[in-house]
Amino acid sequence: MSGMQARPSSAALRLLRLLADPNEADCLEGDIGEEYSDIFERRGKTAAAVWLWFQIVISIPSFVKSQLYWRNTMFANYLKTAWRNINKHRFFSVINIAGLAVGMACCILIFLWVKDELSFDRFHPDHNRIYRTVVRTEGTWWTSSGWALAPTLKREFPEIRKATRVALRNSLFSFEDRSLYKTVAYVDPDFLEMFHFPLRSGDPRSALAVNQSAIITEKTAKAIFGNADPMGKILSVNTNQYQVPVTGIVKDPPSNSTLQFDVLIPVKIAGEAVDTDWSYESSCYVLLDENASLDDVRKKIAPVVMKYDQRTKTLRTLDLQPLTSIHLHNLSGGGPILYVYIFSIIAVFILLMACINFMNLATARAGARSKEVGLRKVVGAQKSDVVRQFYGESLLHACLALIAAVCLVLLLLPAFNNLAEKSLNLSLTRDAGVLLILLAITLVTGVVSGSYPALFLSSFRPAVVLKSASSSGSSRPRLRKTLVIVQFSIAIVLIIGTAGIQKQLNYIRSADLGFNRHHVVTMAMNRVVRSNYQALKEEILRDPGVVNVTAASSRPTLVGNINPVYWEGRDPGQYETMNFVATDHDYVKTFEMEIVAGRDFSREFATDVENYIVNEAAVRMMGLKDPVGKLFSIWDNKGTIIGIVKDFHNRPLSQEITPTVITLRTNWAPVVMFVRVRPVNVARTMDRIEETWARFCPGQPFEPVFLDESFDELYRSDRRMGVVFRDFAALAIFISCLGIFGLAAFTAQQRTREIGVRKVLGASVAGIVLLLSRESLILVTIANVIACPVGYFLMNWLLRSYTYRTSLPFWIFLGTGILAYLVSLLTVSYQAFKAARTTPTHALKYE
Amino acid sequence: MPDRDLLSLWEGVYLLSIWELKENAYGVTIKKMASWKTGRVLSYGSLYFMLAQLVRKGFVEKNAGEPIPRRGGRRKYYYTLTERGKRALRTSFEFQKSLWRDIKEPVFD
Repeated sequence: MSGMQARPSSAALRLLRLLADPNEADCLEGDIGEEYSDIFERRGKTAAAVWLWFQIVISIPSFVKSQLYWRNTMFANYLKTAWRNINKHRFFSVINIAGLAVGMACCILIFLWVKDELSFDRFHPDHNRIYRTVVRTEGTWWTSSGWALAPTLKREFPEIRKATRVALRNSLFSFEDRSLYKTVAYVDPDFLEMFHFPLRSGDPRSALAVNQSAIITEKTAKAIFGNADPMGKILSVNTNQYQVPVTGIVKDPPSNSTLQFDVLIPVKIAGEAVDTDWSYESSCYVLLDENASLDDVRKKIAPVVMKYDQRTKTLRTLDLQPLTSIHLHNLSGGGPILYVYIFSIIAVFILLMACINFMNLATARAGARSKEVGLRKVVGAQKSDVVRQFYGESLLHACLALIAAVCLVLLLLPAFNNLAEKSLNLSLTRDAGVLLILLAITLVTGVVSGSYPALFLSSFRPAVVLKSASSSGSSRPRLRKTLVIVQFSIAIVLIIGTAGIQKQLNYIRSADLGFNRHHVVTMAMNRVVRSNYQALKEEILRDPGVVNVTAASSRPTLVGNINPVYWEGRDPGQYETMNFVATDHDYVKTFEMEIVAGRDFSREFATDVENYIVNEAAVRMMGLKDPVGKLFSIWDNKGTIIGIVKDFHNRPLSQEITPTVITLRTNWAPVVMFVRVRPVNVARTMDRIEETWARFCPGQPFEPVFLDESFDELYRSDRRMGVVFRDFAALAIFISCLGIFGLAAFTAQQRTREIGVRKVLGASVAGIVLLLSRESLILVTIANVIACPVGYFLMNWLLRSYTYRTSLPFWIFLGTGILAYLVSLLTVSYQAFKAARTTPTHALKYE
Repeated sequence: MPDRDLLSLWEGVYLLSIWELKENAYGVTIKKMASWKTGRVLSYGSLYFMLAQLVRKGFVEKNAGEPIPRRGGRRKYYYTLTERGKRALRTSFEFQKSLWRDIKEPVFD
């Protein structure tokens, strides 16, 4: 038999070549060929083939082992090379790692924040089955509903297993000589079974079973009772409106709960009548059955309000909002989820920018490393080996950056928490998710930033790079330029965003609200204060530092009550609601509102108690030509319109001014007292008011708040986001500057000899600085051109949620552009000056 | 005792096989010899992984022979023990002996 016939199949040989260690493949193939021929001759072709494949199969574990072994050995070598490179170019390494670290730290912070935002209300085991009811009517919606809704739903629909009312009130709690305002939630016994608010003491089943009972949080227990045991002690609510014994102590609601309360009291403390009362004064939460389909339930409960609430005349449908979306989604669209998206995108961009820095410097230095790559290839490295090497290197950088980033996060977290009003912490041991995300961030950073250098450098042809005399062939300038443009565009967009948000915040701060919110002190009124109000008012008015005193059922910054109204000439079928505020005399005067027609309430007209003042929005809604003197009523309280007040912003600026009525009627108890003080010696005036207060309402807490503070409170989350946005924009700029700084340093190094020659030939320092800066200025110009329209659209989209918003003037874009020029010029010029001032002889001696 | 020259059991098997085969120690024969000594079916994969290790540790030398048509035109690669390999065999042997010498109670009959 000839040797040719005894050859093993070529498929098997190819497979062997693929699997085996390349150094040993030759002998291996020879040996297998030899033994194959032996078997072939003795036992035939089939036996030989079986033997061959059997050999391949049982060899696989060893092949794998050997591959891993060599990889490991080479990996150690790559690590060593990478470390040497980091050490040799410390300056560039620091820039690289610092940029990556800052980017990763940003990512980690944003991740922690996003994780916290998304965790809202998810700590309740049944969070997926809990919903809040929403009443929808044409064009608007309310989260408040009638008291009777919860018991009705539970009674009528078997799919609704549990239901609770939640009515939040600010009430005065007294024990012995201590009195404090606390947020109380009036709830049903189902509350503790639906939500996960564990009791520290007391029995969850019976703690709310008796109508006269109260569960207080640990913090409240500490504030009222100190270290004494509160169980069984009697608390007085609103100065003896109710007397309730403490039947349980609940853990403080976690910060990621939308339901925040200090005290829980059964709704029925007000009597059984609440079960049939349809006034919109509480919200309602329901727990659906495990097998219930949400769509079915929604369809079934939609007509409930119309069916049971006899007074409702316009179409109102009941709907459900998932508990977990309450924090993130406003019913009108938008909400914090918007910030979750925006910040996630920013995190990705910032990390991308840091990666771009890395790529840029790596490719810029490619020339210097081309020799190394060439040599590796000459001694037998495959392309894939070089790819692996550079990935390893970028991963090493990413790991070093991760360590720096974690330190940075630990350092910055307190400040960030302060800024974002959160209590985030980075616990690597307790939270596997954080650890995973850290690994993921590192891996992504390493792979993304290593990908370009790896693929680019590995494709060098050894003969070419080793032959070329100069190691400094500046490689791929176009790609580097593109990356710098991308970086700067992102940074510029962020700056435009910051400027836009700041401008909107300024607009809010200086907006003409239709009333004067400055120098007005607000004080909460309870029953005791109310009963002494007239005397207190007269006494305070006597103070020379006080201009006016009034009281009302709500602050003009947020007039929220909704009530059905009737006016002379209304369509019989028409049903409308308006916001209203019940006031004392002088409300319009105290807030310096403007009466555009008719007159203000006056003590000279005793009948004014029955009369109304409406705002212009109300006039527009009623469609009356001459409203003054027309009959008007809220519910059944008939009266006359005597004046029209100029529109004032009774809702946050994100919402439209709503039709509003001002009344003197006393059916609605005032809850806030307002004192307008003269803007001089305010502190002295406040002291005197406090004295008077203590004289007339002994024992009642005096907690004055200036109206402009409570106005600012409305926009706190917007302001907070503005600050966070600004800081991230600053970081983005910092990272891009690091990038061009490194590049400028590199270019200066590359062109040392060129600069030397130019200087010898008589170039000035200024000329050389210009030469070195020109390139980055061009790049920034292009970035500006790209970023401005993007920023413009982004800002329009962001500000869309404000009904009353600022414009985006041209100077914002111009200013941002100039800022970008200045920053980049400053960054580059340091290197440029350094290079330009070197003595030419040094430069020419170089190398 | 120099730790790194202490051989594993399989290293010992291969080194002794190569020693016994003298001038005829190459892939096929080494594998057959080791297989015969241990009574196991061995794969070429494991053989060459082990041989590469032994070469790297300096216990054996690898020398190319002439190309042979029977091997598909491939050379034979002969393996021979180095001085260091011999020393390693001896150290391991001495070590084994010393281990047993110290045992007072018989472990088995």
